[in-house]
Amino acid sequence: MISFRSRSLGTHAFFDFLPKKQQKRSAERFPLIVPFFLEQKMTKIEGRNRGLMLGVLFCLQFGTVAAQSVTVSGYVEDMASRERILGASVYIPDLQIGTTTNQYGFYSVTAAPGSYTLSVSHIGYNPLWIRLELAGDTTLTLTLAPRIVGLEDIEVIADRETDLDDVQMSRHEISIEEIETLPVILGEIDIQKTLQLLPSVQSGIEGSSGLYVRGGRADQNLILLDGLPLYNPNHLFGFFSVFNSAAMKRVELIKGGFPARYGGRLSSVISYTMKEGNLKRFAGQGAIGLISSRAMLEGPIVKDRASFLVAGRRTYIDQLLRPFQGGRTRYGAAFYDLNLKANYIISERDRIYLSAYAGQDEFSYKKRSTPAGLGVNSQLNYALGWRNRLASLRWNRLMGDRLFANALIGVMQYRFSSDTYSVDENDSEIIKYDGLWYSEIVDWTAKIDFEYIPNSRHYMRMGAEGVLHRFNPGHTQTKLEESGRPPVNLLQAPTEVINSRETALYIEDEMQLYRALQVTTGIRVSSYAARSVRFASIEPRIGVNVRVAQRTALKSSYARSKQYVHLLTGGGTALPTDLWIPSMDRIPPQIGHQLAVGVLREFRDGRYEVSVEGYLKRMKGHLEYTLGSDRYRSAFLDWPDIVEIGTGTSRGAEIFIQRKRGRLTGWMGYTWARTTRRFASLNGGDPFPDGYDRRHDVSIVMQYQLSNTKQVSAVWVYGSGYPVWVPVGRYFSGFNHLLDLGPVNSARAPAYHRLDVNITFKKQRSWGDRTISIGLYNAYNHKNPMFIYPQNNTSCESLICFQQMSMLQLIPSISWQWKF
Amino acid sequence: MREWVAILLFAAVCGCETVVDLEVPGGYQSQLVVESKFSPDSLWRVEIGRSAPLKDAAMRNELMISDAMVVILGENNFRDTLRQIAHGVYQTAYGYQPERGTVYRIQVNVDGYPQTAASSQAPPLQSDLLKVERFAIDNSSATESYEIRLRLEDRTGKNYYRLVLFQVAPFCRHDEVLGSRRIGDDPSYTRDYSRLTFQSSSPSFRDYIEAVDDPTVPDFENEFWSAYFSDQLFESTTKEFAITFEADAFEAIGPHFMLVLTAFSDDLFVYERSVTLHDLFVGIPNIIQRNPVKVHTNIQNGLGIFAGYTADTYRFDEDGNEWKEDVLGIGGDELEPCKQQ
Repeated sequence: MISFRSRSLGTHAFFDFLPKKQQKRSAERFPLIVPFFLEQKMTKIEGRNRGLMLGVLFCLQFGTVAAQSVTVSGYVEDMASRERILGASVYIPDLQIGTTTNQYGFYSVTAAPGSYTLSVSHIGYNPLWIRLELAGDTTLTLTLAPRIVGLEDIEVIADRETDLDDVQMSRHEISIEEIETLPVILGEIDIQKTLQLLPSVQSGIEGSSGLYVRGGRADQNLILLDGLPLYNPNHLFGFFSVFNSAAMKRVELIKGGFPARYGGRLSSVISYTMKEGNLKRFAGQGAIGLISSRAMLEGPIVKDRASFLVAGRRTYIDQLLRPFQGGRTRYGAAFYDLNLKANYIISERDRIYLSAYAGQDEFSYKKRSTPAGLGVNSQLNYALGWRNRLASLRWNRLMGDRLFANALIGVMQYRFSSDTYSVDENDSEIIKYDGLWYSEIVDWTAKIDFEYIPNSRHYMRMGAEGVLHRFNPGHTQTKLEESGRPPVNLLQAPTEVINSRETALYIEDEMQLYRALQVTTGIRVSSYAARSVRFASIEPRIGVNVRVAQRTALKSSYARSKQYVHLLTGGGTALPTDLWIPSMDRIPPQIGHQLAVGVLREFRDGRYEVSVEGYLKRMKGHLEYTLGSDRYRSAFLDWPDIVEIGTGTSRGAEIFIQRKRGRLTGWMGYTWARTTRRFASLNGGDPFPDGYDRRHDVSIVMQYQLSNTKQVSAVWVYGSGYPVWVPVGRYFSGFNHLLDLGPVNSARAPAYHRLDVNITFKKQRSWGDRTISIGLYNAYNHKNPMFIYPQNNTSCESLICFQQMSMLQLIPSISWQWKF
Repeated sequence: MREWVAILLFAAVCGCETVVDLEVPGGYQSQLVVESKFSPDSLWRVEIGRSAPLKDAAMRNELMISDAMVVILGENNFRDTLRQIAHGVYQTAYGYQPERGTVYRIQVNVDGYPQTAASSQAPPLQSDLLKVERFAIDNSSATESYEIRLRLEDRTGKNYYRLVLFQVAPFCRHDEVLGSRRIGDDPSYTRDYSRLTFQSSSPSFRDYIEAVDDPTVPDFENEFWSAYFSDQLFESTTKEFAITFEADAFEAIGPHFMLVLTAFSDDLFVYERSVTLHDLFVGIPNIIQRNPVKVHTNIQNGLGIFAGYTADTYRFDEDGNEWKEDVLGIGGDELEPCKQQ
């Protein structure tokens, strides 16, 4: 169904559109549909208020004459739920102009008055052609019907806006539906793990949800959930991400050529957008897996006016551990996620959204006992956990046919804590101890973005952003009460609470200078103030797209970025105990420069897309513990004294081949990369390979539609070995047999590869769909290196040898999903 | 059912170990290794060795160095050139012992290696054993339990300590892990003592040296093989500790205990801690720290450690009376049977 509205007339009409098969070729058969409706409505209005009508017509005519162009704008929506569709192509083939909807589903296309066919398409939806008689500026809400996947190879979109027309390079978008059918470990759908299958995206240790993009570090990803950054998007020490796929609508990854509207991180932008909530009817979905279950419910609060979405996920690892517990001791591990979204259509031009997320991990240990001879009452409660809280209020306003505004206020809290409480009590004395360590960040964000589209060859964005950060990096509070002694209340913090202000202004201008040349230029000006220290930055962003042939485009980009926050990590996987610290005296911001060039070519009418990209990235301001510092303890003590600043360089080449349509879809990615770091006191000041420097990386992802109800998918990944920092010498100190470290990361682990397969069976029931997924992780049971460590063993030929530990071998999984 | 699911999950993610051949960079430059953990209760004694390439299969004795010039320098022009008493082992020829609170410097010269040097001291320590009380935990057992109280005067500044408890046992336990008394580098006690575990509700105590001052790693059991602690919760004050323990029963000899409170120099504590972390890295996959651990050294131009400690040792019997090792025959042959294990 298409909803149609003329801005000039302020009227609203709906009509059913054609069946799928007739869509493309029959567009010309309906040239008068829109004028027909316009005529009908105009007639009615004319009868009611002739004066108003004349005024409107005057304005319309004046605008047309003045600009010699008219604009059609509005939103693209899902027909079934009225969910706005992001990234949909809106295209006028006759003029070869078009655009894509922005991240709020808004589009605006400007053309000379006339009669045109408008083509609207998006992955997962039946394309739509509509004949428009454009005489004046028009607001048109376009609705797309979800595509029911069948065996037929759907031939669509002959003429459309494609990636060839997009100046933005190094960008990937994967649909949530696609992610949900790929094989996953333990059947737990994880969006971030799917992103790891893209070129130049590393996971760190096997099974982790970590993202290391183009030689960057875990802290250099700007991970946004509905526009607000998340600092630790992981559960279970990084083995699962916090994003519940049931609540997500879209995920976008940008690895280079960052638009000026994004800032504050060096290596990537990963933007998650939550579903808005079905405006038409109640709907839901859920899944039961081996270690967790999830559910989502959405529906209208007021039909076509307001809707909500609530989604939750919880693991039952703690329940699985129960059989191993006994006596007076209890321990557990659990995490949960809760997503909430609501929106309200205030008017045709205004809509507000409320987004919220809460997620928590908790590991607990409780014991009640009576130690021999000491106490009659002894108890110990220990809890270790971390949590993310996030809430934002967003206001979308259409300020004209060509100007769109988005304002957002929000708050984010990330906190890691460890709390030990013990009581020992007997007849003569009592000892109470409470030891709390926590690290916390609270961000208050306010931002406003404007998008102005003067014409179809010109797109402008501008905006401002302000963030108040409150860092509390590593705070220890110890309370001790003992009989006969004054109570101890000890507060320790390497630094006091740091309040800082980050502000940024940006402007982006994307223009089609010539028919085959598109350029986007942008600049981001940011400043950061913490205590008495101020930093400022001017960050130019440039992107160029040259269409060298009908199906071939050359792209290049340059981006300078500045990052005012750092993650101080022990060097292993990203752990919640890692400290987020702000730039301050002695700790300057991180700065990155990235230059990328690439070529994109489509084959077979866009069914295949091949891109080749190369990049060079230089970074400085990396933070690292000094060699020999006690990393285990440093988080709790004086870390400012044991860190040093370094630089990094990363370069690489990527090949990405994607089959977009047909029964068989998927992609193949290959990356060649080299990433080095340099610190004054590490490795004698010489550059050394980064811990996740991987020379060759291959991923092949395939999905094949066996029938309307069955789909198989397979993933094969290969990566040459990660660097390993190995000892080169050994010695005895007393009776301790010790190792003398060699150059940093001078050896290589064996290569990594595995095959995952999955089959899904879908069945329609009276109440909805149910899907059963059966998968195999590491199907040929390859023993991949997860850890490599020296072994002091007499069985080794030379006393010391290296041992590889492999985990996550052949793991079957099954999950049951339902959707109504 | 839940048990089966849990077992299957565990089986799925359990580890599998294989030996891999990594290409280790060559051209290793050997370094001098100096090892001396000194205390006021021992003579000056230093071991000198060298490091070897990783693939070199040389054993400890083969890496010791015989022709070193080892000099200890102290306050008031103290100078002692140590004499080699065994292959790579150097000791004072004059019966000199370190003094508490005095800073000493070591210089080592060996042909073919740059001169190595280091400085340290045995820190002052003041403590008292206040009370020893015996009680039975239940009538059905012959085992007796004890409670003792110890007082510690903490010095200004950051200080690290360790508390260890032993019982005289009429058999040999040569393996340190099994409990023979080897405090620091003192090799003279390798027999006649069995280490006891003890309980304490002190929140300062940690069973593992790497957990000291780490609020995220409490001691869950309140039972200690060695109690490592810092003065974080009683900085510069007088602190009393209460511990309880159960004694072993022997026919050959009654209960005789030895409580040892050790104060570490900073370098020695950091060294011991780094060795523990190093050992956690060697032979054990370590998710927290992927990179290897560099063992602390305070030796300029070399490896190893030259650092002091001070130990207050309390010997008491079941009634709290002090006893002496020579009277009891500790270290001699009186406590037979003492057979090698």
